[in-house]
Amino acid sequence: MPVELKHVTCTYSPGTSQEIRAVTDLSLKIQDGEFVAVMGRTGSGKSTLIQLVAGLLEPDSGQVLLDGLDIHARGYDRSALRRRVGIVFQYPEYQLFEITVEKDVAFGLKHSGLKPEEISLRVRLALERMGFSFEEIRKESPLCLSGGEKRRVAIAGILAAHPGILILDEPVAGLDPLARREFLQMIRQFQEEGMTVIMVSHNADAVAEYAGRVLVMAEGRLEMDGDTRTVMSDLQRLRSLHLDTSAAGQAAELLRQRGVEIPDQTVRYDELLGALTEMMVKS
Amino acid sequence: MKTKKEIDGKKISFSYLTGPKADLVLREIDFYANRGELVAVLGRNGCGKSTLARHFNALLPLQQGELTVGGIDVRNQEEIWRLRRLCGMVFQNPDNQFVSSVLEEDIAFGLENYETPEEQIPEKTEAALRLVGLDGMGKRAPHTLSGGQKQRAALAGVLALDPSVLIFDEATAMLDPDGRREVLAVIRRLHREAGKTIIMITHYAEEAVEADRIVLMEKGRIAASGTPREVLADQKLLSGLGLAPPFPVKMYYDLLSAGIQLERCPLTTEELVEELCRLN
Repeated sequence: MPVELKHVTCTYSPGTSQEIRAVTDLSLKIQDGEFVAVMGRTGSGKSTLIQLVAGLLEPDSGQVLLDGLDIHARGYDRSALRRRVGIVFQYPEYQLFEITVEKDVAFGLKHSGLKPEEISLRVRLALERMGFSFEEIRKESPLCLSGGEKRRVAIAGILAAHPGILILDEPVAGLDPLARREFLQMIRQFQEEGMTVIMVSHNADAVAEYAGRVLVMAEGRLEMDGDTRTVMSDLQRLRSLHLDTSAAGQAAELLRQRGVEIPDQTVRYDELLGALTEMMVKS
Repeated sequence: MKTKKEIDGKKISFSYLTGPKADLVLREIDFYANRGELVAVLGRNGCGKSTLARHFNALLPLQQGELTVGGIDVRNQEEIWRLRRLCGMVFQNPDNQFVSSVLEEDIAFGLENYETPEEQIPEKTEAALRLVGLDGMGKRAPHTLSGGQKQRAALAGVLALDPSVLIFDEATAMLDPDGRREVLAVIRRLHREAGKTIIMITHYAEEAVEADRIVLMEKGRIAASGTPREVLADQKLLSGLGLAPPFPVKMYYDLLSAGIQLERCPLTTEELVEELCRLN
């Protein structure tokens, strides 16, 4: 299910004094099974970008294509689109509302036309995928869980619809470092099984470690687009766009300035550790 | 006689529920902060750190134990407003700490409640905005600000009342990198230049590096406390509590496993680079 944006422009409150051009002439293509990170400072258009991909916003001009079909064309099955493209908003734990976890996760499938047994099965599997014991969690109130648990329940609700594309807006914000790692490894697992993952994140370390490709938005345009090493090793440009750089990337840059030879495009922790170990063992 | 301890808590226990299923969220915590000290409270989600912080200005009632802040017993209902003026708090979410439609009114809200003479309010409001680097922005509406600006504006509302204790409850968690840097810079300044007592609740070990003292919490207890070097360089301690050591500390131990010994364990990237260059 490749996604393609063709010359997309999107404006909020057009024709009023509040008019804001959120994205301008945006073109990009995301292939099946990619893990794409989207970076950009607040107001750069990254949330607009993911809402366009999910079909929640309609462009003023240009097209959004899924499998080569224009999702805003007359007759396009948009309710199926909702299930094929899952979007997890920031702080999804605030969106839980049902009496039990089981009901909350099943909610999105209510009008799917699936048989009740099929829905039950999917709910069970989705919760298990997110690391819960179904029997233990199903009757709990989602509002009484911890923050991390709530977030996993919210994502189970998306997974139950079996999306081919999973969009996550700042999924690890507010999680402690260990929970963050567990979470990202789970997302990576989904991607390895064939799901396309699009993750908005300010966390340069998470982006460097997990994404295969990075899109950087600035002022409504696609400022950078490339494989993770290429984008994340351009520290100067990232800084000029007010973005963070990975800790390993920063250390590599400082070491190079001091005359220590660290390979170009060292942006991940393991790469830096490997380079240092090799160098020290040699000397 | 005035005590040196601005916050002095002994055997604080707390539970959100009552009855047989009630779990203690805090278990006999002894916590103190000296006047002018910056204490970082570090721990995983759900360890009780925010619950503890909400006791300092009596947002939560003290159920068991003793706690005084600035010499005021938090149980003393008659002193509660003086306590809350003395001990201000900035929360995690930048979007739900405002009560007015423009900043200066929002900041004046607290001052008016504390019966500040009207003619002093504009001056105090502007002074508070200046302290957080938002000079001249009093007429702006909160929703037109960036996340970092919102958090600083929320802080200005607290600072207008001239508190001696400031509590930041994961105040940077929802901010982008710029916003985070801005807020941390203001916190640093308030500590160094204004001599405020600061409690910083966080789960980023990196943010705790500059603290005078770090208190580690786990499951409602204090698991350890010490200087950043004592606490953050102890990888065993941190990983035992499910916390990630800062990047340079992790690197130090991973290099050690590979047979490379740095002279001392670095806490910042700059220190790590220094140590590596010394070796090279």
